[in-house]
Amino acid sequence: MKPMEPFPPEVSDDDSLARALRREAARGPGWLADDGFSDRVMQRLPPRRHRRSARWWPVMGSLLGGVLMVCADSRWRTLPALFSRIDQPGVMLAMVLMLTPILLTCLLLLLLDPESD
Amino acid sequence: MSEHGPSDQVLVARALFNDDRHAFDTLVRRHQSALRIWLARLCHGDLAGADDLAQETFLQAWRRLDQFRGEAQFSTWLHSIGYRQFLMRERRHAGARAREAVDAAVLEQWPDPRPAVDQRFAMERDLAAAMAVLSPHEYAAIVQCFLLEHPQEEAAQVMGCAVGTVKSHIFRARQKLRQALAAWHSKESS
Repeated sequence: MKPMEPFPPEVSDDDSLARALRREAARGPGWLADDGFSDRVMQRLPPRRHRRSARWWPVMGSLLGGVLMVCADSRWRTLPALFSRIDQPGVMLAMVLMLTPILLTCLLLLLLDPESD
Repeated sequence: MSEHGPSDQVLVARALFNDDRHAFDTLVRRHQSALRIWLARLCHGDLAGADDLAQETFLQAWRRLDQFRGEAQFSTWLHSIGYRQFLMRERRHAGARAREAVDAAVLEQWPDPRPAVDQRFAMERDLAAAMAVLSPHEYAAIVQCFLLEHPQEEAAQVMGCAVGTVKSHIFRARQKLRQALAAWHSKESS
């Protein structure tokens, strides 16, 4: 830590204030004994929050984004149009190919999550 | 900060990734004194109130440990959490104290120090009274940079503002304090 002059030069012109602040700074303890403080803190410490649900948000967002991209594709401009064509094998295959990597990524994130039980 | 044992960063990593409570316990024991003294200063010597804030600060630190990036020292990060706790407490008590309502006109009518009282203690009393009219930001800046002799850069990190803002707080605080202690100043110069 960079040492600093206790009282910068601009303060020392005001003798009363500088002296009063110096006296105030000298008052009070330099160290406080623990006296059970740390134990009280540790007793109140909650279990670490598992943030698996927080990690799901980006994944779910990506999933939603993927679906919306499909919907906005030039070939299938609207959602009703997509659903009307979903029985076509080509569309089904495209959707499966698009969604499989996303689902696999979800699964991988879940398995590698260090906070998962 | 860590004269003995593992560094703060190592302890944070252990607490965070291994859920190591013993590591966090070491951090609490290492930093409790400085944090409590600092908060007690901010709370105008109310150690019980400061201890409540310090406890809440450590609990918040535990919950937000993953937000500690190691860009600043752990103590600075801890103090910044404590400072936010202090500001929340100040807001809760703002109505009762109405510290902000005291303006320059009131300060001009500050009573002269009583001659019967020991000069040194009388001035301390007046300084304490003058400190009470500072805004929480001004007071925190004075406590950090003058009473605890922290660098202004560190004070800025703790208070979550620019160094220039800390300087402004100090400037305004000094004006108020000088005004409040004007009677002393004129007495010394005469």
